[in-house]
Amino acid sequence: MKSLFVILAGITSVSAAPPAQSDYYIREEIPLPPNEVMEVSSIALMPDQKVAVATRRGDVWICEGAYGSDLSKVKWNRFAHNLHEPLGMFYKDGALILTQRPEVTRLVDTDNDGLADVFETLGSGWGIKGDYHEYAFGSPPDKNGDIWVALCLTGSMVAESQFRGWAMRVTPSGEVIPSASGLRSPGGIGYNAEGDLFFTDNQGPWNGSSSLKWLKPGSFQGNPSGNKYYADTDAIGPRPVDPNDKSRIMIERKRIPQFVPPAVIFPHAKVGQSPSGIVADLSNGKFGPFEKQLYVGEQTHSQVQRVCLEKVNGLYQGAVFHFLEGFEAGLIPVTLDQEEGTLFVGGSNRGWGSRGSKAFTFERVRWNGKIPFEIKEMKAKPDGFELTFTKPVDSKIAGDPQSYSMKSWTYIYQSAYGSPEVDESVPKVEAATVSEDGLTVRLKVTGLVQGNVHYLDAKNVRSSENGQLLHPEAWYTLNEIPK
Amino acid sequence: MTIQPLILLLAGAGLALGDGKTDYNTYCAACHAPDGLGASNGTFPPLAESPWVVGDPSRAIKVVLHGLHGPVTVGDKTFNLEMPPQGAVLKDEQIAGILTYVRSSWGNKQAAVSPGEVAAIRSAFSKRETAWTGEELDKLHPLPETKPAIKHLISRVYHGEWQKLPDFQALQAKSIEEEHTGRISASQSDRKNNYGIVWDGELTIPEAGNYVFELQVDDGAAVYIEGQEILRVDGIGPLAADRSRTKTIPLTQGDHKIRIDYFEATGEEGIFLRFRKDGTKNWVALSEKPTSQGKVTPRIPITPNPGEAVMYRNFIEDVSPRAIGVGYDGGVNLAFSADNLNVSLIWTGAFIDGGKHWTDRGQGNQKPSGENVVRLGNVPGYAKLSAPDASWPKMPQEAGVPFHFRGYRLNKAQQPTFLYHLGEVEVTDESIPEFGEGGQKLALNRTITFTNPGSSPLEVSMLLAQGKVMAGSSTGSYVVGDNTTLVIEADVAAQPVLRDSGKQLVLPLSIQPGTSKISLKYQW
Repeated sequence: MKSLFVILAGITSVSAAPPAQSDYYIREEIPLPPNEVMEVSSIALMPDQKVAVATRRGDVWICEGAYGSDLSKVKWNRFAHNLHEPLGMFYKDGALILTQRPEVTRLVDTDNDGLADVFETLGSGWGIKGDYHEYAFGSPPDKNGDIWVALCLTGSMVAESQFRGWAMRVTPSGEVIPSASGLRSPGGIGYNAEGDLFFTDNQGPWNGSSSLKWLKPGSFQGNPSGNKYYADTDAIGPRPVDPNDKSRIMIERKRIPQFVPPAVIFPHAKVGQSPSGIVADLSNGKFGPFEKQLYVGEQTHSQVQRVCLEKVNGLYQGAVFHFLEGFEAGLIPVTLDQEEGTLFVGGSNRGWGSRGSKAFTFERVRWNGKIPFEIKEMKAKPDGFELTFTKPVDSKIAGDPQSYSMKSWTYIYQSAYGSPEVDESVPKVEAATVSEDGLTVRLKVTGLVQGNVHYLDAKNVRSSENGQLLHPEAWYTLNEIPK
Repeated sequence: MTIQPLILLLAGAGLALGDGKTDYNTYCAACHAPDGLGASNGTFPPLAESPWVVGDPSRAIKVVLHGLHGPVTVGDKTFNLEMPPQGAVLKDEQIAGILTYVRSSWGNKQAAVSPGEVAAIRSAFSKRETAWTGEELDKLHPLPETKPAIKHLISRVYHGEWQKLPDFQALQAKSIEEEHTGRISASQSDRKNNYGIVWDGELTIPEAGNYVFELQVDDGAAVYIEGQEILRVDGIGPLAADRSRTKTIPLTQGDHKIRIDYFEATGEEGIFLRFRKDGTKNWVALSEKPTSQGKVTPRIPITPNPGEAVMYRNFIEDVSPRAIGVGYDGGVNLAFSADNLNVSLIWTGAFIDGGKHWTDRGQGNQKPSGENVVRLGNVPGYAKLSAPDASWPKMPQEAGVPFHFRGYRLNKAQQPTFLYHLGEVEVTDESIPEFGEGGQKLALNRTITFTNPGSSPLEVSMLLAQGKVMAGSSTGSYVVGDNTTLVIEADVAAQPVLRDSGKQLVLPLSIQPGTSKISLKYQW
């Protein structure tokens, strides 16, 4: 009896309770108007802490009280009815501007009765043929005031309508300019902290896995289905050469100068299956320690992932980490109130299943001020990686190369749907050097493979308080190795 | 000698099962659900006790390798989703593991699938780039025969006009048939309207317990077990969730007499009846699978508030993809095309149903819900014709004048005025319904105002109607569609022209600098 007790006590003292998301982030469902189907497709922040929400059925609602301590007091007012599946909405100069399937529209309530009465078409003219998959995701305005619209392929496979698989730029004067090609099936569009534009593209033809892509003006994003429409525009130069099938991105991007490779690949099923909305953290620490990083929604897994980016040799690349999970439906829009540090998400699982089992949801997440122990950043170095942690590490463990394991792989770049993981290798962590403050660990790695996803498992690393990492895994897309 | 191989076999199967479960949960469970019942309460096809995973695994291997496209029926439900192909993602061993897991879980008791079986199909169909359809698979791999749901099923058809279920026992049947399918169907009648059917048969209950029955019907039906009424949906109405009824009753093991009385007045028809053992989720369909129409989508009628209009922006049949439907209270409706800058459709009665686009992925174009649909033309509303007899353009880009849709504004009654440009000329296009005393619909009054800021006129023709057009009884009056009268008034010198062998009514316009106006009245 006595010896058994001692053993149990011993076990308890070594394994402190593993950390949980709810120790740091408070996720709450925001009550929705009763008897309404609120398949949230867009969220826009408005003055006076009002939040506008658009639904896949096309209604626009304005919510008051979404920031309140008592969410049962939220009030909802319907602002507009039955628009065409708006995906992307923002507030500017007294108006809500949203992207519907056929157009970008400005909604104004000129007589202040709480209902939109002017629906001004700001830009349209891209091809649309009535196919259910021809979605249009609109961005907030860029530095020039332009709205970018990412156009899904017809049936997510072909380009039967003009400029399907392109991103169009809608200028303040209403011009609609084809501005990038090669998109497949976008799930969201947004900016990084520097104001460069990104979109998420889903696994499928020419996308071995889903990824976050840099929507560089004039670029080709990898799927050639829509490239026939270069014949209809000279806005971004001549048609690029077609990629060879069953190749590798690393090989084809040398053949195709316009090809911007995915900035961060989200390995299929391991990270997620349908990445969606994108928002940068510019809250200056109001939403935790991930300043300037991106939060990316995930429809199938009902999650939010975290991405740190860096630019190496002119290309964006970086790492994706798991971040928030347990949302009630498949997430589509993700918006962060940078002043309040409140993350708003919404979504639906209509037509595409999700782990969250509700038909639709609208939720907020707030940070409680406690710092989770996480790998904050992963950066590429000429001979390895540099990890920055949110809290000082236990130097003895973090300084042991055995505390890390790595794998790398890439995907076949092909017209077939998706790809297995190929060209696998095992990069070796030769040395791990902990900085004096315990926040940074420099990993010396042999066997880096340019172009591959580099997977890092750091589950053995402990904080100086013996805490476990909340999320010990990272997936870094090594487009370029810094010199 | 005999024991050792058996142990090896079991160990091998156990290993494959373990990997298969992990891979299933990773790659498949988001849609098919960890419990195999289909995610989101069966929005996605179930694999548990699905005939699709019974017997020869080729059907399932093909679906996993190349994907599945279009409508399929699983059990008593029809699905029209897209299964993405996994052949490029998953290795033969993984697919075999997943299918072995699926075929031995959640009540499925089928043999394991080997990587070799997957490899054989993969190599035989290595050139295949398209997903399979349910129809193709049914031909290549017919689903296993199932026992008739109702034994000795007899149907009796009655003719008559009813508003609710009559007492069929007091009536004389027109025909009697044995239904070998063992399932009831409204199509077992010899006519489409004003009929009734009474079915009699025996329901085999495998084990004693409580059983849940569910009925949905258009128009009315009642279900009797051993002569006792258990379910009734009566009166006139559609197949809709709010007319669905369920009832749980205890049943002993063995055969039980079942009778279903059904009647249909006019319009759409159908009956769906199924049952399951309480506490299980496996429904047994007693009615025929929905056939060509596919799954019954819920009705979500869109109706205006009293005195107002309501709009619906989505894909509408016989309107270009940038369609904008407007339903006015009182039963007057139109659909405007933001591509073609015209009123493409007008109709009376109910406006439109959102169920098609707001269910699942929402494929296809929706039809108007009401009556007297007049297709005024799914082509540009204006064109600069090179000659009076030149053919009317099909695309807005061919109209010879730049089209520019600017949106719309709503008045207090939520009625839109559409705004657009024809080149430099600014146009407002407003339609307001007109009702007589007692609220009967008289007309839709459409006013089109041109503001030409330039110094020269814009010569352009306006399409007024296409298809069925006839000159009416007075000047400027025409009959369009079956019984809609179009009256044209213009404050610009304009004479309507019937062209294209009388199938097209066009108004040549010379839009002068300043403001000018055209009034069109669509009358019923």
